[in-house]
Amino acid sequence: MIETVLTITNAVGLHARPAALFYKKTREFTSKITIQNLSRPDTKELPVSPFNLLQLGVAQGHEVRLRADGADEQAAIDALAQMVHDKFGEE
Amino acid sequence: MSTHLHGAGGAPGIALGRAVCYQPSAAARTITDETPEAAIARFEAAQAQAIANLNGLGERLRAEGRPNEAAIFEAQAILLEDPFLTDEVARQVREAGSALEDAITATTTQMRVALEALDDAYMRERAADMDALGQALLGALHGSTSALRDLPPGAIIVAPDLAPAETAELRSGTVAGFATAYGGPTGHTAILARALGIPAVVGLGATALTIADGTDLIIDGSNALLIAAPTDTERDTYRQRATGERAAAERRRLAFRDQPGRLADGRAVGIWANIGDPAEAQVAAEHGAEGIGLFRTEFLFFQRTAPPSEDEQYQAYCAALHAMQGRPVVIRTIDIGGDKPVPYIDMPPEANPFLGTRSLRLCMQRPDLFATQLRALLRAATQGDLWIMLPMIATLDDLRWGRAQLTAAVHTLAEAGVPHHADVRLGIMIETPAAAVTADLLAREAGFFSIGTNDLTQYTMAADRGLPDLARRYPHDATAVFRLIALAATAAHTAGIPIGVCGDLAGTPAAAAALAGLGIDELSMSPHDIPKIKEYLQSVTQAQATAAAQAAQQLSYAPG
Repeated sequence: MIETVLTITNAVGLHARPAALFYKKTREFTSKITIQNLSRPDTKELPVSPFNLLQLGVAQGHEVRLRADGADEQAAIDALAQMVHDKFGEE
Repeated sequence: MSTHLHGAGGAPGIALGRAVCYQPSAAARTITDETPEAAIARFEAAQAQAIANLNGLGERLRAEGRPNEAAIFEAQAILLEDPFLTDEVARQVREAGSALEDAITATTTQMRVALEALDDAYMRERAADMDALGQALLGALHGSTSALRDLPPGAIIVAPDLAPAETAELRSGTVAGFATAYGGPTGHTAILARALGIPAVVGLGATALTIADGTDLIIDGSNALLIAAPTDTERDTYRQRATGERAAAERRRLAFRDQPGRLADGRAVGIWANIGDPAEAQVAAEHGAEGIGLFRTEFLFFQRTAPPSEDEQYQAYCAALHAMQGRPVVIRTIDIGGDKPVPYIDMPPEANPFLGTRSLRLCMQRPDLFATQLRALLRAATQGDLWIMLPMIATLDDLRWGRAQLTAAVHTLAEAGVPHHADVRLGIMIETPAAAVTADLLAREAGFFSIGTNDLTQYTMAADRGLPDLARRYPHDATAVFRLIALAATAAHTAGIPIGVCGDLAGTPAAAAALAGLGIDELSMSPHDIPKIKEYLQSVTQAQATAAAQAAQQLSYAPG
C-alpha cells in the first residue's frame, strides 16, 4: 500500500468534469484506490467513486490523501497525481 | 376493417399519422420480478439505457452550442455508474427482498439525504440531483419523456394521459395528434393540444392502450373520434377534409389577423394570446393577438436538473417581446407546485398539491429562484411592454411580499449598474375565491388583474379539473364563477386598472360575449382560437353582451 498527499489547485476542485476524469482514471487500474479530504476533517476515507467525490466536497486549495493498494499501486498514484498537477487540463 | 373509438372530448382538427405508444413514467408503478436476479438484470438494462439517454442528450446539447447544459447531463450519466448505487440497489433486492422500483427510490433517497447532511451549500444543491437519478432510472424502466424527443414526423401519441412536464416536450412540431385513454375535455392534455393547434381525442378508455405501435390512425378531434387502421375510403375522405379545414382556418386567420377585437357596435375588447414558450409568441402574432395575456414561464424550469440562469430567462423573455413588436406581454412568475415537481426544488409530497406550497408560495420558500426571475424580467422590460403577473394571490400580504421582492430586485440591478426598467406594471392573477371577494382591497395596490378561470373554477367549485365527470358537472361558466368575476371586474373598474381573463373561458364564444358584457378589457386565449372569437364578437352588440353577462350570473344562463 502506498499513499500520497496532494493539494488540489484547479478552479472547480474535484467536481463535475475533473471528478469524472479522476474516477475514470482510477478504473484503469486494478489496485483498490481510496481518497480522504484532509481539509474536511469530518469526512471519511472512501473508495474513489463519482458519488463519494461529491460527498467529499473537494474544493480548490483542499488537501487530499490518496491511497492505492494492489499490483499497480505505484502506477495508479503516479497517474492520478499527474492529473492533479496538470489541473485536469483546465485553463 | 377499421376500428372506431369515441372519446370524451379533444382538440379540433383532423390528423392522419401513425401510432407512437407512450407509457408515461409512473413512479408508483412496480413490477413483480420472478427472482432477484431477474430484477437486477432489469436494473442493469435500465442503467445502460439511462446512461445512453443522458449522454445522448449531452451530445445533442453540445452540438447546439450549450456546453454548460450538456455537462449537467454528462455528470448525471457518470453518477449512474456509481458503484454505491449499483451495489446498494442489488443489496436491497437480494437481501431485503425489495421490489426493484422501491430499491431504486430508496437508494437515491439515501444518497440525497447523505448530501443534504453536509455542511456545504454547493453540495446540498447537488442533493436534488440524486432524485433526478432515480427518475432517470425509473424512466428507463418504464418509458420516459426522453423518448418523446425523437418522434418520427406525423406521430400520433397514444398514451394513458400526459403530465404537464411531459407535454412540455411536445412543442417540436413533429407531433400530428394526441390520443389518450384518460383525461377529460378540460384536462391539461386537451388544453395543451388546443393551445398548440394539434388535433386530439382524450378519454378514449383503456381500449386505446391496446393499439399497437405503428398502427395507421386518424384523429377527428371535433367529433372526439379515433379511427384505427382506417379503410382507403376513410383515409381519402379525411385527407380531403383535413385539407379543406386547413384552408378554411387559414382564410379566417388572414381575414381577422389585422382587425382589432371589438363588438358589433364598436366597443374594443382586446383579443390576446396565452403562450407557453417564446416560439408561440410568433404564432400568436400571426393569428392576430393584440398582446400576450399570459406567458407561462414553467417551460424554463421543467426537464432540467438545475434552475435556468438569469441570462437564459432574459433571452426567453426578450424573444417573446420582440415577436410581439411593442404590444403588451404579461409574464407570469413561477407557477410550479407539487403536481408537477422539478428535481432541483425540494417539494415534500403533499396530500393536496393544489392547496399546497405552490406557485408564489413556493417562491416564498425559494426567494433565490424568484429574485433571479424578477431580475431577468426587469432587464427584459427594456425591450418592450412587459407586465409582471403574480399567480396564486390569496391576500394583500401575498401581493405586498411580491412587490417587496420586486423592489429589492430593482435595487440589486441599480447597484450593479445593469440596464433595466424599474417602473414595470405589477399585477395579479385572480384565481382564488379569496382574491375575488377581496378584489376591492387588492385593486388599490395591483397594477392590473387577470382572471385565471381554470383554477378559479376548480377552487370555487371544490372540483378537481382533472376529473372528467366533475369537470362536466361543475363547468367554467358556473354561476358562482361568473359572480366572482363580476366582483373582480367592478373592483378593477372602480380602481381604474385593466382587467383581463386568461382562462379557457375566454376562448369559448358564448362566454367571451358574457365576459365582454362584464366590462372585461381583454380576453386571452390559445392563439388558434383568436380568429374565431374575433369573428364571433363582431356579431354581438353591447346590449346583447350586457344581457349575457346578467344571465350568466343567474341560474337561467344557458350557454350558446
